[in-house]
Amino acid sequence: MKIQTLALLALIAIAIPAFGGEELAIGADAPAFSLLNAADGKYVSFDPKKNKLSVVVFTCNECPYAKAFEPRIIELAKHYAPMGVTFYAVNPNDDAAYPAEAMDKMRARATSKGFPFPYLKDTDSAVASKYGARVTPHVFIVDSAGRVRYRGYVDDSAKVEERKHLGMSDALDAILAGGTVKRQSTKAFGCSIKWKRAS
Amino acid sequence: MTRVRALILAAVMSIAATPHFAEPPVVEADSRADVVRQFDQSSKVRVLNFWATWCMPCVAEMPILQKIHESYRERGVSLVALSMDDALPGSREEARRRVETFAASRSLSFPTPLYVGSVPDIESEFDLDGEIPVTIVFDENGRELSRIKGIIDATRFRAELDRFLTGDHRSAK
Repeated sequence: MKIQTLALLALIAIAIPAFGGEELAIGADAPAFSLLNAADGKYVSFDPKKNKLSVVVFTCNECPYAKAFEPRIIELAKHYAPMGVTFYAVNPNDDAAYPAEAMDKMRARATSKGFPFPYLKDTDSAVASKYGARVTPHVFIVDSAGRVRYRGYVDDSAKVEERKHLGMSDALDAILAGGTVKRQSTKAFGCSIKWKRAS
Repeated sequence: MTRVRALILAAVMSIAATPHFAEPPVVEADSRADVVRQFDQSSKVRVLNFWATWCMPCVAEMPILQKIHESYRERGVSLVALSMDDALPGSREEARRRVETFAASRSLSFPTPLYVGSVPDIESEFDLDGEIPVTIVFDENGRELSRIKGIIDATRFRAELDRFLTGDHRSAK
């Protein structure tokens, strides 16, 4: 085995310990958080009961699957903003092990892609752990009572032409219409979160 | 006679020079049945790994899987690594090329079929939770024996395969 591979394995073994809590159940209280926004260097606080409807999406800079969904998340954030839906993008990846996930790189990404939402650094991966996020992208929709109403994927496919179920937008439409969400819980798929190692 | 001997010798040497492990062609699979067909049907223990070329831990795990395959394929263990590369936007052909190029560059000699169906469908079929790599071990009847999320620990995994091959896991219950 090459030294490079061994080094990568060691890095990954360190960066991906058994970590992360249980995925928040539908109806569970969403944890509040206050995180630094990479876009402007200011703290953004999320109080689950303060917004009409909130989307917390765990995403990152480098995961190809997360990047594939990025335009879709931007599109949905713009579409639903006038309806009172607030989006928060949270990057939980360990930037010590993965420098491409550091604040300056996040800021560059948020600026170049024109993120219409704060891009927050979950420095110690604690928020992702509390939500039970496993992968990027992983979506949680929280209603005005602070309860989780949807969890899972953005859509069932990253390929527009192969989409059969629109996870996030179907859920938002149903909640905004005062109805029930047909698929409340779907399986998010993507890159495993690169958990911050406990120091 | 000398000429015949030389020819035989040349043939033997050419066989010896041929890489012992050749990369199998990347076939497409869009269902559990397709995936199961990729196993050596005479194998006693079947190992299914879910991976993608874009998944760093998966890529890091591949040399371990190759070594396992080399050690255990003659002992009745069949290893298949199902690529999720086609989940990304882009053509199927591009995804297939990515997998083929990767398999060739790492001299992977176990099948690396390309999954071309719906991601949620395969997740339901195998009860996956969205993260890769995942490695599932089945017996010859398709009964799940074990499941490892994340990169396998080679030593532990070998011990597990040994137990499954000898049937010790049955007597332990």
